[in-house]
Amino acid sequence: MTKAEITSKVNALLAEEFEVEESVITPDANIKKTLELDSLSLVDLVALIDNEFGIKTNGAEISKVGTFGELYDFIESKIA
Amino acid sequence: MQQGEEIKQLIPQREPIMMIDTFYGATETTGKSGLTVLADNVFCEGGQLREMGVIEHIAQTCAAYNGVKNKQNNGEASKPKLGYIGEIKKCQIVRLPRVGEQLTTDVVATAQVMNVTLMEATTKIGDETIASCQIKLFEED
Repeated sequence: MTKAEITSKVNALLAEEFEVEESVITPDANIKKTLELDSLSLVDLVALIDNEFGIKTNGAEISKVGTFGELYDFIESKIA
Repeated sequence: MQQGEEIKQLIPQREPIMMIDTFYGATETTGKSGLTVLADNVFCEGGQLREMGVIEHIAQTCAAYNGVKNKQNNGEASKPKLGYIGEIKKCQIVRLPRVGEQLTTDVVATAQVMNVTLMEATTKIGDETIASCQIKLFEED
């Protein structure tokens, strides 16, 4: 899967799961602020990454990811 | 399989709101429980277990699963932890169980972050699926 494919898939999935417009999901945007993530909803992001990309991760790893660009990089590194 | 008093080792709820009477067991990511609906169940009305009772039954199945994991991680003597329903999504209740019917609920833990567990639940009467939902449980330390 190319970086562009990952980006497109992640944006579509996040927009649907967290009910935001895809247009607000940009590489430099802050994930927690944009998706209004809190300690309860962080688990949704972990589940989504696992279900869609087969990546087993945890809250500690995901908490370090600040922007959507970093999330694309994180997923790319895990499926490479 | 655990029943009656043994279930109190897994979940913090007590009568009259204990909503599982059998726990069939757990694997790394799944758990299964049962409940026979009795006429004196506090969530029964008009001979049916109301929606809140079905949800409580599902939540306690998740709690029992967490109870098993807690004992595996912290020892058999560890007490059940208090937990709270954080969120319920994609909830579908097809029909309400009637007095005398036996529910079985399967839960699958799909993700866990710190004290929050995300679970998928399916409740059946025999082969008939009567409810399903995604439930998020927050457990105290």
